[in-house]
Order: sequence, then C-alpha cells, then structure tokens
Amino acid sequence: MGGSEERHDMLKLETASDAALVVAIARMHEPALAEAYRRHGGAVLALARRVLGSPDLAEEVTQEVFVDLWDSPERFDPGRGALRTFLMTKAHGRAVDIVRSESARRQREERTVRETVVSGYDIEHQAWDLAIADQVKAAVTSLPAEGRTAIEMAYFDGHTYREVASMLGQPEGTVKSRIRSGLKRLRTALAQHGVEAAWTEP
Amino acid sequence: MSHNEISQLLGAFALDAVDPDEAEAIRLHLVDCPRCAAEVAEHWEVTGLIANSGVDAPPELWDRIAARIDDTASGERRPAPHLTPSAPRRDRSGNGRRRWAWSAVGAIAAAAAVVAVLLAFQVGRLDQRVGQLASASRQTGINQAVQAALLDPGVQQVTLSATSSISTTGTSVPGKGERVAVVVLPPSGPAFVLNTGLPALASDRTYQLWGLVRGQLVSLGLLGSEPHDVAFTVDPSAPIKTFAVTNEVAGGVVRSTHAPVAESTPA
Repeated sequence: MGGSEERHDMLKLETASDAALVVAIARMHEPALAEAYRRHGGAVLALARRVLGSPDLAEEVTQEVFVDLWDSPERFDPGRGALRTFLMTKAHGRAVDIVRSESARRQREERTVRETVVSGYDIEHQAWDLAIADQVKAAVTSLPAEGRTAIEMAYFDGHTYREVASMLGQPEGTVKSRIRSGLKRLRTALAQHGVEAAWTEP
Repeated sequence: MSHNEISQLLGAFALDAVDPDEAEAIRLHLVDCPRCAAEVAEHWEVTGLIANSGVDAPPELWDRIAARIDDTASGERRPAPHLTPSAPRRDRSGNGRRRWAWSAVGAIAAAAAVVAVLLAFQVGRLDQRVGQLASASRQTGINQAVQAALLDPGVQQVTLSATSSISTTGTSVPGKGERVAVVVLPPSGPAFVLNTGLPALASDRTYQLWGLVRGQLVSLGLLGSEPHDVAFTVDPSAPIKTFAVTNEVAGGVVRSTHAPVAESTPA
C-alpha cells in the first residue's frame, strides 16, 4: 500500500473535492477528516446549537458526526447528495433524538415557550453563508408564512408534525402537507435564485 | 402505510418530525421506492441550505475529534475500507469474456447521424461530481487505478445521461436525463467508463462508446451487454470532451445509424 500513501501525500486537500476527501478518509487519512471538518464543521455545529440550544450538547453532536464519518465513511453515498447535506442530516437526527429524550424535555419546553413568545426568529436568520445568504433569504421570504412556520418549528425546534399541529391548533394533515409543499416551494425558489446544494467551497 | 400515505409524510420525515414507528415504515419504503427516496434527498438538500451558516469550525473542537479518532485507531484497526477492493479486474483477464474489444480505436470516423445529437457537452472539473464516481466504485468494485484517478485533483469527468432512445432498451429503464455512466479522464494514464445505470441488454446486443475527436465521431470500443467499468486509452493531443453510447448488435458497428441511448451532458 506504499503507493496509496504516496497518493495521499500528493493529494492537495484544500483543492480536493468532498468525495475525494471521503475516499481518503476511508483510507484512514486523518488530514482529510480535518479538512472535511474545516469545511463543514461550522455549519454542523451551528445547526446542532440551533436545535439543542446548548453549546455543550451541540459540540458533542458535532464530534459524534465527524467520528462517525471517520468510522463509517461508506455510509456517505456521494451519488445521493453533497457531503454537507449528509453531515447536516446526521447532526439534525442526532440533535432531535437528544431533544426528545426525557432529560432534555423540561429545558426544551421552556425554550419553546420563550421562542414562541418572542417569535423573533425565522429561517432567514439561519442563512448566513456569505456566498448564498441573499439568495436563500429571498427564497425563504417567498414562502407562505404558514408553511414557513411549520418548517421552522419542526426543523429548528425538533417538534414532530403532530406537535406542531397541536401547538398551532391545525389539523395534522394540513401541517404535514404544508411542510412538504413548503420544502418543494423552497427548492424551486432556491433553484430560481441560482442556489444549489453543491458545496464547492475550496 | 400505503405509498400515498407515506409520500405525504416525506417532508416531515426529512425534518425528523415524524413519530418513530412512522419513520421506520418510511425508511423501509424508501429502500424499494426510488421516487420517494429521491424526494427525501431533495428535501434534505433544501434543509441543508436553509440551515447553512457561515460560522467557522472552531479548531479546539477539532482537537477533541482528533483525540477520539486516535483512540479508535489505536484500538482495533478497521477492516479494509470498502473503497479499496483488492480483487483483480475481471475485464483485464484477457480471456474470452473480456468485455472491452479494442477496435481500431480512434481510427474510424463514424456516423454523422450521431453527431447531430451531440451538441451539448461540457467537461466538468471533478469537484462535486467525483462523488458520483466514488459511489459507482463501491457498486462495481473498481480497482485502485480508478481511485488514483479520483484522487487526482486534475481529473476531469463527463456525465453521460440517458436520452429518450434508451426507452427501447430493456425492462428496467432509466428515465430521460438520468445519469447512466460516467467517463473519468485523469491528466495522464488510462481513462475509465463507469456504468452507473445502463440497463442490461439482450445477449445479442452491446453498448458501444463513441467520442467526438477533431469533429468526428470515433468508436472507442464496446462495453458489452452488461457493462462493467472499463478502461480505455485516449490520445492526450486530441482530448475528447463529448461522448455517446449507442445500442448495437453484438460485435459493434463501424458507423452507427442509431441515436445514442446516452450522451454527455453539461457537468
């Protein structure tokens, strides 16, 4: 395997594609994982923090996501989407598990009350990526308010659609279809604004 | 739950906002339903975008991650990565089953009829698309030469997408525009074709690969009726940027009179 070691040395990590990084990670090339973390760790951490409301728990989730990538790189299927999407999806699932666990319930309920009262947050504030922030903001703004609210409560606060329905006093069927159609509209709007889920950050 | 009931839940599922029993039923359904799986993947792209933030990854958190993976690495070594199959390539064995027929590669100008449909092309730098290649490599057990090519920052790739002509090809047919093969072009050494979705043909048929060289379509070789990933050589002085695949009688043809079943598309 001496040849593959050489190949790693030659691989310019900062210009390698995400998928090339994952190939290198599968060969236990630690600098490749470090580069993947450098590219995507901030976004993963920010999402986990948003869902969990706790910096400590968010860091724990972020660690788990990247250690999992190291242990099981084959779970990432590049044909199905971008690495960042994969990592964010993993982080979100883990964060929601924690949020729904009994120990976190009280804290979460307090937080929900606080945020429902303040109601000053929305998806727009989450979209900070310098390159695409404006386009994402425009796409999000174009979404009807009810779909936007349901998506925010589910995605950023970790509520199930049933919980969202009960909190909003709306039928479950209405909420689940608003979430789905809202995501589809967002996708269309993002495409119209020239935004793709392709992370070309060098 | 029926397909219909499940499809209505796909948005909530992508947000991790369904109950555990619903999530389980949906996951099972996604294994067998490419359409629903594709929709979930699209929802995930959207959530990945709206949740994106420009926050930098804190270096001290990396130190903790590095410490954890060092722990696992010093414990038991993981089994060989899936991406590094060691089996020799069947296609190179030189026996009668060899799939790649070396025709007079590059020598024979072919079918103007095919040229007409080959207007759209673009070679992309590997960037995001290399991912699809790595994915294909897992499915087909491709050899280390392809991996070396994938790791080369200078590698280029061309995606071949199904045309409407592919609909006459077989029973399980990819839709128009679906990526069915990828050509990998490293800066030096052999190029590769990876089959990512060309359906099997009847045994008396073969796929044939064509390239546009100096304005003329030339046969690059036969891919067989059930294509595997194969290597081919390219002349560096005449880079090929446009490729097409046709469905021909076994043995191939010098000039194709068929419209391509797949052709290169903008990256």
